[in-house]
Amino acid sequence: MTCTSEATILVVDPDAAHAARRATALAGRGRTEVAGTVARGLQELAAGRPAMCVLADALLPAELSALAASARKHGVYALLGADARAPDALELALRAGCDGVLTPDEPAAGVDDHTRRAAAFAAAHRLDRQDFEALRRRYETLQQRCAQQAESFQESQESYYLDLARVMTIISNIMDGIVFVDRGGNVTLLNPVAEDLLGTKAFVAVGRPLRALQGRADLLGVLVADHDRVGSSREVSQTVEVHHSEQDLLYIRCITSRVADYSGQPAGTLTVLKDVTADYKSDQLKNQYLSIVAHELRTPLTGIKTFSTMMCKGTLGPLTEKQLRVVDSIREQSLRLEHQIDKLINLGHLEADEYGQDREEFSVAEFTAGLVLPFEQPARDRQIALTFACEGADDECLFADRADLRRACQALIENAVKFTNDGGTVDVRVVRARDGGLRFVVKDSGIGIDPRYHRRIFEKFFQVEDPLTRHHGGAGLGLFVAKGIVEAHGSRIEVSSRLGEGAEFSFALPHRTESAAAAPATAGQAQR
Amino acid sequence: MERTVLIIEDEKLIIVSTQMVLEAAGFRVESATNGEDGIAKARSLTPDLVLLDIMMPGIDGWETLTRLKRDTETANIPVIIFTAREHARGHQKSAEMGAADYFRKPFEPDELIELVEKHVGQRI
Repeated sequence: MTCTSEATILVVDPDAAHAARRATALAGRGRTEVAGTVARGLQELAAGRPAMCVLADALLPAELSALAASARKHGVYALLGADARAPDALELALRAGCDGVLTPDEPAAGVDDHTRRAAAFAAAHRLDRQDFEALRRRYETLQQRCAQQAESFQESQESYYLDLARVMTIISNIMDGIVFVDRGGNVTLLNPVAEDLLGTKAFVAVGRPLRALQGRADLLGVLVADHDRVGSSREVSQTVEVHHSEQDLLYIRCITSRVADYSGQPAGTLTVLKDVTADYKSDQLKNQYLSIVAHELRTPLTGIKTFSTMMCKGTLGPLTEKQLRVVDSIREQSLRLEHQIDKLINLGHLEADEYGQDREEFSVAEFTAGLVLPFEQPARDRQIALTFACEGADDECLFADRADLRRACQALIENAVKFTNDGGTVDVRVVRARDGGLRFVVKDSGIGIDPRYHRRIFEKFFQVEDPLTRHHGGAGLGLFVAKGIVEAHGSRIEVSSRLGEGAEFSFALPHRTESAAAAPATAGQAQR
Repeated sequence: MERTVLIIEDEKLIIVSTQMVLEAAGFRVESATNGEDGIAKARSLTPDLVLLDIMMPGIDGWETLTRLKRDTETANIPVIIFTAREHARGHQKSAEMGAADYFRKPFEPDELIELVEKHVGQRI
């Protein structure tokens, strides 16, 4: 048996001579340290000096117990050296917590046996201690992490409550009504403005189905309808007249949007109720004013146009060539003026929700007859090849406001001719779409539109070019009006263009089918 | 037989220019500058067609149309509404009220003649 170099046998014995004898007897079986008192021995063990075995002798049972307990705590093999071969030596040793007994006359093999057991004991305890140390370190790390997590959780919780408080303050104080309805159709939030507009209270409404609420029935009905129909589109809106009090007629714009949860699943709808009474009234005034202005301008224009046309035709007698040129110019300018007045009226029209009112059935052939005629001369003057083709759809039936639809189509053609350079091409077509419907398409080889302006070109008065330096005339109303008309018929204008590469505008024509008969009315309602 | 068109219109300029166009096309043209006068002339002259403006002082074109259609003596005279102002559902409204057509000012003389030719004498 060899001991590890660190292994030491600690002999605790108040009798120095006896201890020295022990040390001599144990020579060659490990390094021997002698402690003269129990206190010293405990000190040695507490200091963590590497000890393999404690050999205690001539101690009181209590001292022996303390020493054995400390030895066990530090993973040291404790052994009672028994002077007398007392029959109760082994019992005493075991009771005190020792691992065995060593008698003075024990043969060398017995000493070796104890040394081996001490070494095995020490090794096992060393392993346990290592495991324990590793576990303790992991525990400390985990504890540290838990503390960090708890701290960060608390921070985020505080920040969450702060954000929530901010949002709730905004929602409570905002000038618009806010209503949140969950996926199941139950109200989950209602701010004070919404309470006032809907004629109900949050404490009554929250948690109850939207369709079961009692209050201002007209507005609640719109909310229910919008909540149901927002499913298929991202957002729906409509303006509703609300009799808020006996004298107070309000115009409320209801904008309902879908709300998704963190995983993108539908979580309900959010409705914003905006009081647009002031805008609406100013729109009404503006439209009345526009209508009166148009009337006042059209009356003298009728005279100018009629007289100049009759003179050009020679109805009022022959003119010289010079006179004819002048009168022709007067007629042309009167036509231009008429066109501009029409555009102004169209602008008023859109804002008065009057597009698409006079709907009737007519054939594609009837509709397209003469559609490109007004642009043929201007196109010829600039060597632009203007073509029209109706690809086998002549007999198809459309259902629309014929005059409005014509304005929309002509606005697209006019736009294409205007922005096509001399010698270019403009192709106007009615084609059959993949879904069986019909599309009106205007494609030109013109200057094209930068994709970043594709949305803005439909805004009122918008022009890509600087108004002071631009080469192309116009008020910036053509596309705005066309968009309004097309949307009032339940369709949408698509643009495909890049700068310098021409442009293609197209939209689905209001085709007469069973479903088309009902659909446009709903789409039109969403417009104002 | 000479065909007569009665223009009920408060703007002298419109009366004159419309009259010139229709006379050049061979119609006899009479005019009235307000609704009341127009109704009286329609009863006394029984024209083949009435061109009726909407915005007039006194009774407006819609009211004039209603009265013309209510009176058995004038009810069957075709009336073309003739307006410079945009009216919501103008086409629909005029058709519902018994007008033969709806026409906007300013107009192309040829189109006016074509429309008058279409309806003149087509007593309902």
